[in-house]
Amino acid sequence: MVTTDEKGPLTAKKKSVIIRSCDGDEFLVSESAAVLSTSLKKILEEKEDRLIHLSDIDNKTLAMVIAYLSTHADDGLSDDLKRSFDQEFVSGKEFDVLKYLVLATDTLQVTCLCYTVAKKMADIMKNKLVEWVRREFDIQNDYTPEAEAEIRRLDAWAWDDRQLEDD
Amino acid sequence: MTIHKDITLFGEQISVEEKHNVDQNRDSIFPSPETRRSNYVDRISVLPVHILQHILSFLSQKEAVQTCVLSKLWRHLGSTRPNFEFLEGSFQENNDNKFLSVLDKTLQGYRDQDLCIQEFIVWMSWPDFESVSVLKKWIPVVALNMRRLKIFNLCFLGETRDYFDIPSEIFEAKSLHELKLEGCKFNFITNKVVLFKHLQTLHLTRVYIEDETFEKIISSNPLIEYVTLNRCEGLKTFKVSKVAANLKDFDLTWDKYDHDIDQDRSIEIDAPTLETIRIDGSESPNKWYHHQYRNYFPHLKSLYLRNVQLSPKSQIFSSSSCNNFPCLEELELDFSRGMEEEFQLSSRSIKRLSITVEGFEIKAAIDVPNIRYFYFRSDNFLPSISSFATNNNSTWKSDLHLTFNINIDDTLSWFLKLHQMLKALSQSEISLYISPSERIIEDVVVRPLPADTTYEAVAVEHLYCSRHGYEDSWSAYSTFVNNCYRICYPRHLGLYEYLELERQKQSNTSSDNYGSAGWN
Repeated sequence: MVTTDEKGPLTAKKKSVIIRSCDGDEFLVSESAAVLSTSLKKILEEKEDRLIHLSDIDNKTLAMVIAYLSTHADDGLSDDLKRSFDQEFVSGKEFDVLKYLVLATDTLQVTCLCYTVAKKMADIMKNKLVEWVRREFDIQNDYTPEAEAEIRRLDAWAWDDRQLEDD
Repeated sequence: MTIHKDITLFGEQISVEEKHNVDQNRDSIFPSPETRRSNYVDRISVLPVHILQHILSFLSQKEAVQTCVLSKLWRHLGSTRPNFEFLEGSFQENNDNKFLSVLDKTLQGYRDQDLCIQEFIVWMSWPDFESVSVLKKWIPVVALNMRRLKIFNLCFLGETRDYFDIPSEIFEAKSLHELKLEGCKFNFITNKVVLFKHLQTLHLTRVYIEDETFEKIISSNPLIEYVTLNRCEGLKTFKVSKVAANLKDFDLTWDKYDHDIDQDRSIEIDAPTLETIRIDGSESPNKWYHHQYRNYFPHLKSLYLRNVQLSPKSQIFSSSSCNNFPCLEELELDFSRGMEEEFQLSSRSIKRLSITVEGFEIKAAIDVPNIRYFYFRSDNFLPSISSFATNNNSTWKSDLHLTFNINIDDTLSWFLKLHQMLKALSQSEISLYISPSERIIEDVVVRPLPADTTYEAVAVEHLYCSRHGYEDSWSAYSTFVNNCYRICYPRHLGLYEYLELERQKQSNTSSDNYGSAGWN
């Protein structure tokens, strides 16, 4: 299956590449969009072939990254529109979706999107109690109570009685 | 989905591990993903260390350090992230936890484990003996050993003139992209010193820096894009030459309380890549030298000049030299001297124009066919706008904030000037705000416009005639408002004036003064 991205069908003038996800689906992407990823750019410089297989990025994540790349490769859109697209892009997404996105953008080296997604993930953790973070992300506390108390004592300056949200 | 960082190309594994400038040491002190994967994996810890630290870099230092107790994996993540960020203001000091000793201890931790710092951000109140000694010990280490240092930001926020002498090693931080200093002093630098190489942003607030040092920094950093100089001392001439081949944004603000206020300063800018220039001359006598016909700003979009004397006088925006600003969209001239004479502005690119004048009268001929918004504020005089040419078919707006000076000899000519100005702007949606220059005393009379003359009333979207100041003389206010209605008909009134008008209408229905005013 070849999914055409919004930039239109393969034309003689516009070069395109096909990117295959780990699920086996293939995405047709314009070269101008693909090279916004530093990793893909390097691969395209080295190889003549126009099929790239990404063994660790699933369909859903890859589709999102490609939507981002295509939007940012569109010269017709203003920078303001692109910025508001970025905000829309990460808003309301589940933490796990963001997690796979941040891994994919890290692998593909899409610096701007990696930044936006990481910032969104940090926003979720901001102003939260440690207990909330543990609960939310299923982090198992493998410290003994004594060890944890010792760490809190060593970095006592970070543990003033500031009120944090616990919801 | 697994977390291998490999890209497969036709079955051929291409390792992209090396692409990340991951600190090898940093990864080695944390459990490897393999070790982690064999154990219990939660929703977040599957992420590699450099991504976790990237996420943590958006938190405050305090929040980042708190994550150390989440689990053993997180033990050193938050306290060794690549951005070192210590803000005294967010630090609650007590006897056991001095800001400086925690800062010292944390930096020692980076040093002991040979970890890199990419962003060094320290804000404190003012330099004292103790803080100076701690910083003098660590700044050379950070500047010379941290090979990936990108941002160096040291601010002393207390408004004191005791500058911190910044160690000259900072100039040797070759990887630095951004230098932000506040309350520091550059000492004289010798020719030997490397003055960065890759600086893109220079942001100095209350920094003592001399002409030579500034010019050297600019000339040895061709990549520089943003320069902000805010209330700096020691500079007499600003020369930004063509050497700054990537400069986009230049922002200069003088200190209002500058000791050398009487000294004449000059600004010479000749960087054709500039997109934004903002110069706030505050109270000191600045001259902006613009060499007509020579200086060309093909990319300049926004120009803001406040209390800057233009040189050569006022002609820089005339039709002959406005070609030097072919992309200028926003022009803001604020109390700027050098406009006393005939002010000519001719530009096809300007979309927003803002002029504020204080204490003098201007005569202007303005030709801006593509204007979208015009703002004018004057404390005293009305401008004589001989023409305001536009060919804009779409709606555009103008905001006029005027002061009515009751003491001027000829109040009638004031209204005639206002009428002329409104006519010049009649293609726009006008909002007109008028307030008296001072409290009107009881016996002052505002002369009504001659009853036998008909004025071509200009449509005005909003009219606000402030009643504040007329408390002792409502008859003066009434005449004033009546005069306004003779020359313009407002579609909306300020609420207060509207009630006033309704009252007048009821008491004097026979009067036809407002008859032509056609409100909605």
